[in-house]
Amino acid sequence: MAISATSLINQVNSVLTQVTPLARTVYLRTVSVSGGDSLIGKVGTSSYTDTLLSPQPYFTRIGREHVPGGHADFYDYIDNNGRQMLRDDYRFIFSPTSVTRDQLENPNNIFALKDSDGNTELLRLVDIEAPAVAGSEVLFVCYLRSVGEVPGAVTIGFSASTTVAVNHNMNSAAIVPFVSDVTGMPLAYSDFTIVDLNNATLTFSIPESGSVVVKTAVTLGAYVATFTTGDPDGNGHYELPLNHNLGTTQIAACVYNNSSHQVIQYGSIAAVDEDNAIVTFTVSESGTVIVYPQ
Amino acid sequence: MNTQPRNVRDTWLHFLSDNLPGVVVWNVRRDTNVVMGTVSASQAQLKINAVNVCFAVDNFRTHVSSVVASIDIAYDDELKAVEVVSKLYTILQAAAYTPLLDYSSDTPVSTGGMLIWNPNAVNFKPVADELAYRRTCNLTLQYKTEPVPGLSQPAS
Repeated sequence: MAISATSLINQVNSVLTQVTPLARTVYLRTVSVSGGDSLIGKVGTSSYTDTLLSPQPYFTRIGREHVPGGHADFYDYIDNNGRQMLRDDYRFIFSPTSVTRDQLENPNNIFALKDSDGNTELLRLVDIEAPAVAGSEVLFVCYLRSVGEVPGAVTIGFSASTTVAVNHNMNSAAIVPFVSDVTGMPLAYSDFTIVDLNNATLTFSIPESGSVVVKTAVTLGAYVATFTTGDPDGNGHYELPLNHNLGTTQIAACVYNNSSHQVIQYGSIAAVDEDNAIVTFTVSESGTVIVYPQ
Repeated sequence: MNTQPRNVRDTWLHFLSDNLPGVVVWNVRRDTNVVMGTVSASQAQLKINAVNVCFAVDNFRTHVSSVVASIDIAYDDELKAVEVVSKLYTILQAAAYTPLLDYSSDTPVSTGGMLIWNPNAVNFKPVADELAYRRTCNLTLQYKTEPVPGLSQPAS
């Protein structure tokens, strides 16, 4: 009896489900850009969505093995954070259930490999081999090339400083700083200001020593929203209800006003339930709020 | 900071793009923004059915600097490519210069300088390629060098 493409795909899915997930989780990243001027490299407003692939693909690093067809390409380098990195080609096995050929061949799609610390490696497609049965592709053997790393968090130390230049290079303004002293205890600061997508400034009222860990909202799995508080309640407080859908009551918030300064003493955040919270301000505010699970 | 090299690239790309309606102008360049997913990962690749522009060699001199711009026309339809070559040749022959503009803000601003090329040096040569009909031209673009602001001196 002839084997159908559908039964082969089901077998592929079954095998992949048994051998995955691997150490890193694979997402399909679709990028969209609006505004700016792509002709001259002026970035407009960009956004991307990461779709978790199911079943997860199986992948291996090709390394120094020579692959017929010249797919293997690698070199080692020092990244922006001073880490020794190996940029390499990978061989992936995708199920047609998790990704289509159109998605693979779309140049606006790349793949993101994420580890548990939020570090992300981005890969682009180099080649596809697709065995087919009765006219249907039953799996995709793809060669992907690393195009760069995005750290999940950046740590910057400082010593006896009142102003710290936080050059995090994570291309995001939705960031949360975690400042600690030399013993690792939380350290109060007077101001944290977003300068641009890759830089911020941390300010103390007196010289301090310690470190600041900057994490992006993506790394934290946070909810991000712009807001403007409405009329005050009877107690003169300004409440901001948020439907964050994070599925937990253990949350914290980081708030920036429209001047990109972090609103440090904003009042309080209280969980209504696992998906909703209320942030209370003592004065009327507008800006961006980042709610993240603790 | 000397922004002339960036202005030269932006001006040249827009000169071609704005004067070739209906034609895709593609800047082949290594773009680190691809790391953050802000642009397609394929920015550094040649685009078929487009006029590909690559800036090959920068020659910085005291008074007049230059950059060699490579224009690579790649089309899978030969007749369409011939049409595009003809349009490109026409605009490059019609003028030998274009005002140098600063595109850092939303509206381009004149820098007071000019971008100059030799219209008699426009030659499209064939490139062997199995996938597309290709013609390439290397053109030297010249511009007046910006004065260098006072340099910091080593401590005595």
